[in-house]
Amino acid sequence: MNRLRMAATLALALAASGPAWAQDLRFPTLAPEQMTEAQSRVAAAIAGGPRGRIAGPFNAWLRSPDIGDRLQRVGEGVRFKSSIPRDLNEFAILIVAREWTAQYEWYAHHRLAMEAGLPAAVAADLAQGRKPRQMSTDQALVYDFCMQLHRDHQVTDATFNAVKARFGEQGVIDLIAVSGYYVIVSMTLNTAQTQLPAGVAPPLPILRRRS
Amino acid sequence: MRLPPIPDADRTPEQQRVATAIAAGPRGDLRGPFNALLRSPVVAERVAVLGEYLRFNTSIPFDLNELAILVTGRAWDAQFEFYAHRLLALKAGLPDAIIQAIAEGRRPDAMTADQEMVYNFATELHRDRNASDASYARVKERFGEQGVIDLVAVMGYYSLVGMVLNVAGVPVPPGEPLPLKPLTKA
Repeated sequence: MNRLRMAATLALALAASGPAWAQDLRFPTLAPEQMTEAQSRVAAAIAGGPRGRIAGPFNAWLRSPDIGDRLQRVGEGVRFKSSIPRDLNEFAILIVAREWTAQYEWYAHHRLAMEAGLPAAVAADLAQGRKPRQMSTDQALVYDFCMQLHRDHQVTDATFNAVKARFGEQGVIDLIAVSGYYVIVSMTLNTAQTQLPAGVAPPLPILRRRS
Repeated sequence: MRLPPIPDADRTPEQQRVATAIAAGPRGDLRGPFNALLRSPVVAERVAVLGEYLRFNTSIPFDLNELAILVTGRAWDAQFEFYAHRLLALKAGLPDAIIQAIAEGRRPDAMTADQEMVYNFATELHRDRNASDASYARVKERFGEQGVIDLVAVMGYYSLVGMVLNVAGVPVPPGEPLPLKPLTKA
């Protein structure tokens, strides 16, 4: 695709995405006409993939377009090709968002978690920094695994074996990978100071961290 | 070890394809997290491609990149990660005294301006979940916006890798002491 057509395609995709384009206090939004060829190629790949738009960490990642492209491919893998059922995958993502107090991440994935059928009460407890009171067996499994991973940097044998028995060795890796990828996303959103859309209140209260 | 290397004969064709591709790259083999990651071949392949950039193509100078990786290994208590990257950091010219201080959870005494800049940025991002305005501004001034992203990305990537290594139980080589002692949490 030549440069002009690429810019036009991209401008169209971005117009369709409207106000979802990320506003980062530390990284001014790149307009299509400001982008280098590498940046517009990566932006077009992101907006043309299953995400359909540029939001979240991508405006920041475009500063290093090669890394932006490699990151978005990992993200596509852990979001759209995971062996973990979607509601549990989104639960794992919300746990990362809570651990990192990544407001934009919570905002974006809370909607996806609700769409996938995660109970609102589970997310509401998590947002307050409480262990959710009413969880299914699978939800409790994911909660224990992810919380141990973030807080203790390791999981117990009992937790490892339970996740392996339920989701297999691939499930163990997919759960770690989605957790790790969203650590990268959280670090980026926090560093970039990515803003919530106008009028949206921060969904996560500031908690005193335990570690 | 919870997720040991998968013998060649037991690999699916997809796992074999990905394993061959990773071994054919600049790493040369599946050491570290990749034997464990192979349980999910799509993830393994894409994580490997990401890591290749952060190891071999990043805009951050090699010694400072390794410094950020060591701070990450310490933050995640990832013994194998710290063991492997201590050797790479020494090779890149990072002073042993700095590595030792990071291993012990202490602020290194004698750092160059660049080392101190990366140490501050990395320590703040892990501990406070964000870099201060001063640390952010210094990295941006020195390495540009691309440098900021490359630094964040390498720390995030090695967080993911540290998680995999810890859960999989990847050991340091026989006879090697564990580089990281438990820290008392504040």
